[in-house]
Amino acid sequence: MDANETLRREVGATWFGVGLPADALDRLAALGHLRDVEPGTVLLTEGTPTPELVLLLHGRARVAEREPGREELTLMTVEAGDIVGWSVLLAPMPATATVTAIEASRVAAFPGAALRAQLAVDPVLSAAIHRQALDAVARRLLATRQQLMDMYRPGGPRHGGAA
Amino acid sequence: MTTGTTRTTDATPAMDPLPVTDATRWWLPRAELDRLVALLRADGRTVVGPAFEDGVVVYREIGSAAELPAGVTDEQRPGRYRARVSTDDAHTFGFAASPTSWKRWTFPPSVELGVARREGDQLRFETPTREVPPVAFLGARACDLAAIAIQDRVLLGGPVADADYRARRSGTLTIGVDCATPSGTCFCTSMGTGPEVVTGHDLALTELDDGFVVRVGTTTGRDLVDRLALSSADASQVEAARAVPDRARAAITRQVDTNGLSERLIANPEHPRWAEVAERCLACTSCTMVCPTCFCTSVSQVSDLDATSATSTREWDSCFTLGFGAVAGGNFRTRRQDRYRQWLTHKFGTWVEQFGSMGCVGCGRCVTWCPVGIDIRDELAAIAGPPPAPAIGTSLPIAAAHPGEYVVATVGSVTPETPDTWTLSLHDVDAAIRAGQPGQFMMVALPGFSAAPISISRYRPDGIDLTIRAAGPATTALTRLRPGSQLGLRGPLGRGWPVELADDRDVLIVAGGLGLPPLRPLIERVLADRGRYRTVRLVIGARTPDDLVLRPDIERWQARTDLDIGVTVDRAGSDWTGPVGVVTQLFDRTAIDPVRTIAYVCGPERMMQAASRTLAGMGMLPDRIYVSMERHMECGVGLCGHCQMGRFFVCRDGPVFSRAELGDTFDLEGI
Repeated sequence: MDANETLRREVGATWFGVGLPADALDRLAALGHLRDVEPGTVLLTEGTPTPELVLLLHGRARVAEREPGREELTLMTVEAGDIVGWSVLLAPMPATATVTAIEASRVAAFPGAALRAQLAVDPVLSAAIHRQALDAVARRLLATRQQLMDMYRPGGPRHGGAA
Repeated sequence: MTTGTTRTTDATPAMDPLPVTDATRWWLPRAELDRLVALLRADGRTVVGPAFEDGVVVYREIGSAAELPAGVTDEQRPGRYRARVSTDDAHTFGFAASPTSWKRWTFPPSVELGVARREGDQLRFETPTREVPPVAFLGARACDLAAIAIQDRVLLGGPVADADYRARRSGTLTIGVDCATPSGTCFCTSMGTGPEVVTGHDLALTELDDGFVVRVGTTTGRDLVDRLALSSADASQVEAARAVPDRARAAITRQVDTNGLSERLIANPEHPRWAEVAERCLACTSCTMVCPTCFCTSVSQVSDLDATSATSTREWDSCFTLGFGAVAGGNFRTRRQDRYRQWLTHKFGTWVEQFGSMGCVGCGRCVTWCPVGIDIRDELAAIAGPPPAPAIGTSLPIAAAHPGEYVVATVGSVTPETPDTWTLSLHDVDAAIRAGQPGQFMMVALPGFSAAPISISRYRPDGIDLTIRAAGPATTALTRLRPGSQLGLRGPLGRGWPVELADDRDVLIVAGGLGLPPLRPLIERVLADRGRYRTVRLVIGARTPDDLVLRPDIERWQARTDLDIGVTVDRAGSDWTGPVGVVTQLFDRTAIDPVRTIAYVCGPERMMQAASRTLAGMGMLPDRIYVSMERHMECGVGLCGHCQMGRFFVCRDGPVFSRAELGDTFDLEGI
């Protein structure tokens, strides 16, 4: 099995890949490559141009922001099947956070320039990729709202409130 | 019914008097009314009847018929009451509803529940044996008798009977009077409760100019007639008596359309009129205080100065007070419109399913005594329009709650979970408590503090565990107990997790924050008999890693190969290598068989709403998603009204419900 077919199979087994039409998945796989990364490997750096769209196949990565004088804050983690670097679709938008592998991980990476060029001429793939990216961003937006709502704030004695 | 004796809450309730069917009508001359009062008093009864005091007709103890309000009439309109003494009409019962209702005697405004005593580390919980003298109600209207019947169903007809009410009712003799003078706020004809006395009476009187036509309702009433040696009423008297309620009925012109009213009301939880009426409502609680059926109460604690004893007293409360639905960290009915909706939808809506009738008898007191003249007849007409499909859940069997008394247990150990949360392992725990079910809770008491509802976080052969966050005075006191200290337990209460429904299914357990402790008995039950279930997935969410409780259990569960467990936190430092994000992200992209899966969700309400929405979005049916609700609880058995949520009392009918049972109420603000 060649590398392209391996990539296609592994991407196709993820939430992201399942949502793509088969022929679109073929064309996407032709653009990417697989990479195994060690814990601590920085996949994206906040504020710098986003080089590639990264689909996490195995492992876990931390999405974090750094503020001067403050410890780096983990906003969320991404798990297998999720993407980071969605800003590559909105070039020249820079990366909005720093993403670091915190477990030995395997990723499929799709270089931004090649991906954008393909999407510009491939409306089927473009629609599918944008839909999946929108789904991922919307999920994060909802999670952020729930975090802002302080979802675990105690609600009563049995669940931790006062009496 | 016996007479001339006192009754105690411990006594076996007296036999109800036998109802009799007797078409005979008797005649009690007006001058003889005092003989009736005297006979009742001679039997040892406290006679309670109407009297004219401070410009109003009130019900109070009377010593003779001379104290009855002869010649008093009244005028009642929304927000207005005027009583006057008529010089040309000497009728004894010529007024409409009094601001007093008979529940003042059957369900007094203040009742001592018990005393907790502390002697060193030893606690003792005492339930007083009260003497309840037998009472005769003289002059109860048909609407008021209907109200007593309603309170009988509420306080005696459920899985748990109120002991004090039972003692008082078992000693009650009732003499009803047909209503001849309805007021402008009366609508008993709409509610089917008047104006003629039909049931609930030992004797019924119809007042004519020179006396009373008497009907017998029970053997006790027959006995009174015999002892008074009444003669039969003649045909003209009987005919005149028949015309009295007919005239009253014709005088009641304002009606409430009760056809489908419950459904129409419940179907309009978002009607703009709720907000509009809330602009007028003062939330003064007057309507609920004068209502003859409202039964909401709260318990207050009064300690001796040396803190060796504390008395618990139950007092009338109202769902209109801001604190009635409050728990620390939140209030489920902050807006006045929420509280008005709660009252009206309960009275005319959810009451039907709970107790078999509406909670209103049409006496009009709430209309008359509303200081701003809110007329519920108008509000009902405005809000309960033509119905869309009612948004209610499936029917629910009422759990057989076992209230028990407070029993003492001993703290064996205290284990810190987080900086503000501890787990108390209790020993010397009553066997009935140890036999409880996963998801049930206890009322936990210390002298001088309000009892707190705490879920059982572990059942052990020799005791139970309670995991408690110190966030208020009572819970702080509980978490400061040391090994050897005692506390009071009442329960186990409520309906727990339906573990039996998980057989041969995929099981998903979702815990948020301190929702994990109420789920631990369920988790342990499932893992103890793991072969009964298919996949078992446990997802746990917390604010931060430091907020995770039951860590040794989590580590033990993580080591198992037959349990798929995920733990996520909202915020974490760089030393946390687990997932960061909301708990729903641990299962929203996994393959869940919506038909084969059953989900148990516990945590703060916001978290449970998010989790159940996510599960519904994955195709799970609402009758497969169970949540454990949190509400202000005091009695634990569905009698104080605090924890009402739509048609449920969370303490009695829950706290565990399926989403199907909760229906749309789960997502409505202010329920």
